Amino acid sequence: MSNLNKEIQNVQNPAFGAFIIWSFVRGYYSNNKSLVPFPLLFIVLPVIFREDISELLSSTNKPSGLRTFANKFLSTKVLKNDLVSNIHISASNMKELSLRSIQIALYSSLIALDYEEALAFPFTTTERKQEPKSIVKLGKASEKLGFWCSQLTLHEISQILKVRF
Amino acid sequence: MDFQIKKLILWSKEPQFKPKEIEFKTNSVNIITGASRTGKSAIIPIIDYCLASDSCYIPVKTIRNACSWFGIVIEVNQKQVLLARQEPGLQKSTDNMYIASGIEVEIPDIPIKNTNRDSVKKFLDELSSLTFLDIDDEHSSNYLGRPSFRDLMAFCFQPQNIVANANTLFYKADTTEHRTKLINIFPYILGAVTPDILAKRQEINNLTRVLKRKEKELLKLKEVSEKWKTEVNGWLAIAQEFGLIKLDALNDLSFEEQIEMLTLISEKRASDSSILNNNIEASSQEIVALRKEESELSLKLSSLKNRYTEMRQLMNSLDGYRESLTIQVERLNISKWLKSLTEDNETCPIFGTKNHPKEQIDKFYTNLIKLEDETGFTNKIPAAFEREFENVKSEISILSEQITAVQKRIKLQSQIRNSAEHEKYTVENISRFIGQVQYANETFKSLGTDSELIHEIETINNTLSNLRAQVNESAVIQRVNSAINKIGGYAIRLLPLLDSERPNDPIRIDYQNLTVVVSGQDGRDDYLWEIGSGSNWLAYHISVTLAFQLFFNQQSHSPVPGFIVYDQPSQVYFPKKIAARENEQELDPKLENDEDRIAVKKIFETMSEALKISQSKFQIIVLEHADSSIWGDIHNVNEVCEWRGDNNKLIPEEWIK
Repeated sequence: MSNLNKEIQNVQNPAFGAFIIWSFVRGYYSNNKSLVPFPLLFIVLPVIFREDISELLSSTNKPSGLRTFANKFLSTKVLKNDLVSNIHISASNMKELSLRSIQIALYSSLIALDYEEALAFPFTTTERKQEPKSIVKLGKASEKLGFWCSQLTLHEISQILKVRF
Repeated sequence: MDFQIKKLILWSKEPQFKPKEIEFKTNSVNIITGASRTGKSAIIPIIDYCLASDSCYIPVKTIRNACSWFGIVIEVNQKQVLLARQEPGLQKSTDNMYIASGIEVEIPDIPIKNTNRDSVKKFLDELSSLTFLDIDDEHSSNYLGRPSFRDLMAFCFQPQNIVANANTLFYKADTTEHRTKLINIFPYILGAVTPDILAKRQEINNLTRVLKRKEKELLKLKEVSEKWKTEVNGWLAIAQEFGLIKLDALNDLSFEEQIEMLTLISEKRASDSSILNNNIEASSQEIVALRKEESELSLKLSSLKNRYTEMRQLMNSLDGYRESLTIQVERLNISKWLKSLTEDNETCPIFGTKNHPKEQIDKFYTNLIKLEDETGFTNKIPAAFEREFENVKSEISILSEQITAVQKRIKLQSQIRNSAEHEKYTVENISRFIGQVQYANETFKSLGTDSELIHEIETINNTLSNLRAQVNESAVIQRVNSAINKIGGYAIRLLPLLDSERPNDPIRIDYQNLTVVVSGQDGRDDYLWEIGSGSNWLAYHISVTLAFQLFFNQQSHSPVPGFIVYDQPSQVYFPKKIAARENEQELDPKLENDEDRIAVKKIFETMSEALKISQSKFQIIVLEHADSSIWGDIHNVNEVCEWRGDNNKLIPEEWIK
């Protein structure tokens, strides 16, 4: 393993991914205690691990919703519509990472799976705030994303983020 | 100041009615007596309004509806001045005013605006010859502005709500703005601070500013002269080469000595030069030495520069490395937490053996431990490193300064030499050099030597200490105190004449709080608001305000107008009928028992006595319920009018539509 590779692995490590996915599930769960469809977990890391997308995510208000967020990429200020189209590709690229993150999240009892319906739900909803600021910020962003997704059906999400499940 | 009210004039809104005039007698007690709701209390606001008050406090409805203009005739220094001001209508106030003056002013049928409020204010300020200098010119705040005529009104009116008020002694002193201003100008009003002192205070401020500037200039000049010194040294070296002067140590001269030397050279003639063998040798040696010094310095500088660049680079890359480490550590930190969550879990068969979550967590956890060690290490480097970095930086700046100084000298010498290489050491060239020195000498002289400036600063310092001695703030405090004691003395003289519980307890005026302090026999100082009973408050108000008037009168020139208006001083003695029905309410209450009648009579007697003390030098106007049966036989009391009975009021009934 080369040094650079190792650094990337350290930065986007599945343990951290587990934390992000757990935050997403918590956010989703916070709206009417709804459970997360399993496929949806695979779009979380592609969004959060892209610095420019997650920056924009942090700067969008929670009540605005996923549509406003997606529309922001079209606004003249940002004009990065290709980012949204990229989510699908990077989702399939990060499949492996996402899967390992989910594994770790399951293993460390952060989330649990309903195997029959393939729905995920959090074991614990207590926020973890003692991490460094940048980590907490990303966790919040992920939680927000989860909350937005909970208001929409899978079909709507696939349309807005231009992904196929 | 001899400033008294002669007449009060009202103009009706209907042109067919003649203006109503109420005439007052100067230098005596004037009484307007009458029933309730006849307009007595409107007198103070009308006078105040005509003396250019900010807003109009004249009661609305009847009075304002009926009148179009209000006016007063004042008598100042045997001259009469008519001041009239238009009724403001729906506005808060109006600036339309009318002014006329003469030995005997004529009352116009209807005044026509010929001036405005601001110019009337200026006129009044001038009339009372108030200073135009600010009390404190350093802080340009309203509170510390120049005393104005309007501020003096505090001593001229005692309206109903003030005359027996425990908390406020003076008119309008119940608002912070007036209060603060009044306190600030008090020493001036008392004559303790004269315009002369104000002017000197201002001069001190100005001089202090100039002094600061000069001192700064001196500092700058010293810095500059250090720079010039090198250049002059160059000139002197050449002069030595030409044999115009003989010097042993060039570098030890002060800038002034150098200039003197230059003057000496500029006065010489070319024929004075005696080119000496060793002089030329010395000068060429000097140049060689300078060149050598320069190259040494530049060598040092360039090596330092290299070091600096490398350090800079190292710092930058260190920063970048540290940043990337922090990100990694932050991201990996989660694995620590997750590891703690999964500690007791057994290896789970579901996940298989390859890429088992536990293994992964462990793997990243070890990575974290490694990285944490590394970040700890990188953090230690900078502390020592940064100090070194700073050292190099300051060394560079010192060296570069040195090198410019040396270069300048080399340049100067070689320039003069190169300009006429082929005719060096000729008489012509030497004369040319002397000419150049002459010119340079002028420039250096125009820079000014520090001795001149030092002398100037000394002069200013002397003037300042001189002025400070003249202003002498402690003497001001002493004068304020003596004035206050004098006023207190008058008040104590008047107080026993009035109806108060402690007529013989000495009182002191506390101008910082604008109140009266009564010292009791038990050694306790009581403030006015700590003393009970309306009749006591009234007694202190009347005695103190009259004492102030007496004091101003006795001053050779006081800006305060010589009149004072009291509105219902007897109010505390009149019976209050709380439960009376509306139609039974007495419009004209009577004093019922004899004690009260005596007490009220005392008020008027005190006023008459105060006038007697001043030898009838000011005017008192009283608006009263009490009728002539009480004050009829007191000396120097004059009834202006009695508003009782039908159509006998401030506003005639036919004026009201």
